Amino acid sequence: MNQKKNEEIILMDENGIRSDGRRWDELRPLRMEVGVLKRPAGSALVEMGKTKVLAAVYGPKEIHPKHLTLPDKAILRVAYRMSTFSVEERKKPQPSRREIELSKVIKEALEPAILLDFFPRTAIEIYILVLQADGGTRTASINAASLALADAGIPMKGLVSSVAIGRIGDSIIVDLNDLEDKYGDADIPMAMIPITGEFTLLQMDGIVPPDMFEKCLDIGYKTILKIHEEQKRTLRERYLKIKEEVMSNKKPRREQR
Amino acid sequence: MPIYFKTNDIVVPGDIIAEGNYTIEQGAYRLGRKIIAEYLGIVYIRENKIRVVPLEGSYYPKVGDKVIGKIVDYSIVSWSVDINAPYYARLDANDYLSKPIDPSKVDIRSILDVGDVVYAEIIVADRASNVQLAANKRGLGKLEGGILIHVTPKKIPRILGKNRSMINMIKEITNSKIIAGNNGYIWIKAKDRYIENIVVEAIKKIERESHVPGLTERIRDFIQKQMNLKGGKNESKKE
Repeated sequence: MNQKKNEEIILMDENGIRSDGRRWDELRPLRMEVGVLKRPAGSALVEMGKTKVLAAVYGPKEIHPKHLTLPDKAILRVAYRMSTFSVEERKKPQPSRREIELSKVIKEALEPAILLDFFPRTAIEIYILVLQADGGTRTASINAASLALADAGIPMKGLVSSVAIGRIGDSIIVDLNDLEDKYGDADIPMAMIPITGEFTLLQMDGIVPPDMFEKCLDIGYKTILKIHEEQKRTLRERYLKIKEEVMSNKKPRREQR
Repeated sequence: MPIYFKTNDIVVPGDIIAEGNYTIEQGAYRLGRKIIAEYLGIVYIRENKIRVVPLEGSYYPKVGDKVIGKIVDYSIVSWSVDINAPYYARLDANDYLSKPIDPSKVDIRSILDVGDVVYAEIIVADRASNVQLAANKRGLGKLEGGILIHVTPKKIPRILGKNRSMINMIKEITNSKIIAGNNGYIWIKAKDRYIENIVVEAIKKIERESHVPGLTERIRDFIQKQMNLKGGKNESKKE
């Protein structure tokens, strides 16, 4: 089926190696950083391979327009945006249908994890900017946004982690890149709160047989746990670094500058 | 009853702290038998009580808190005050002056104007009504001169220290006036700008390193060193 679309693209060779040299269950190189921006309450940068996403959290703050206020809990607002230079051909700057839809999907993926009833009559705002897109921007966005929320000190049931599972022919693949997303046979982005075991995002593009779908969910869960561990490590490391620095070097900071 | 963390460990939202019959004091929730952290914070376990103190977070108004606010707007008999919370607070003129004012004779802006800074107590804050302030007690009122800085509100307890020991130590060494509002605004007034800067740097250091043990000692060393530097400078000027 893929050969028909484009004969030159081979998504997986005879040895089971994918177009970018990964095996079926390998993630792209993962890099996470929190507190990258100064002004927002919390921020995070997540890189999954060539996909780079920046997330910033503001609030809780007062809601405008006022009629959207909920008397018993906060509302969550998510703006997912792709920068004009994030894709090969310049993306028009005005919000597209896709961006508005993804904002909604990401919002619904994060909402169940946040304890919104701690902040009645307020809004928590998340701004997500895709700096570079190479497939899986919605999953990277969810990972970045949940890190930024934790960095902002917003109470949560647990971190939300997300990954895409796909299919090429008979084999399942993990963490799709742009090529596999476009020419693969199926793409299933999913997000969950690993601590409670709830799925908060599950979409599918393409065709997967029912028995294989079950397998995809299992593999997705295992992969999400890997990403979850990395998220936790990233959040802790920031404080441990300061601790190490202070403990090893007792000179006043002025002299270090 | 297994415990997976020990006191002073850093936890992130979703970390299972313990399982079993523990009492949750703050910052955690129960899922079945598991006790799970809600915040990115430091965990304290004493006997069978579990507390997670957040490392970051915004200010949420609570009755009895003393806060520093900036006047942002005024009406005939009250002011709107920015207290670094999700909502503006209201300060009525009679809660500031301890007596009603006659708006036909007194212009409210001659008492407090937009941009002024007040130290006030929260007297009303619930989930339904707006936040109300009062500044008619001793020690409260308008703050004049000095500088105003902002830190993470969750770090204010560390800046105050146990029984206000940290802030008293800073005040003593630098001979300055410091007021730390529960909302994260800190007002500093010292003899000159140089000392004010030392205090600011010390407070920023506390904010950054509050989770590392031996904080008080480090801050004392830091301030003393800085003050000695200043002393040295003055002497060289005299020569």
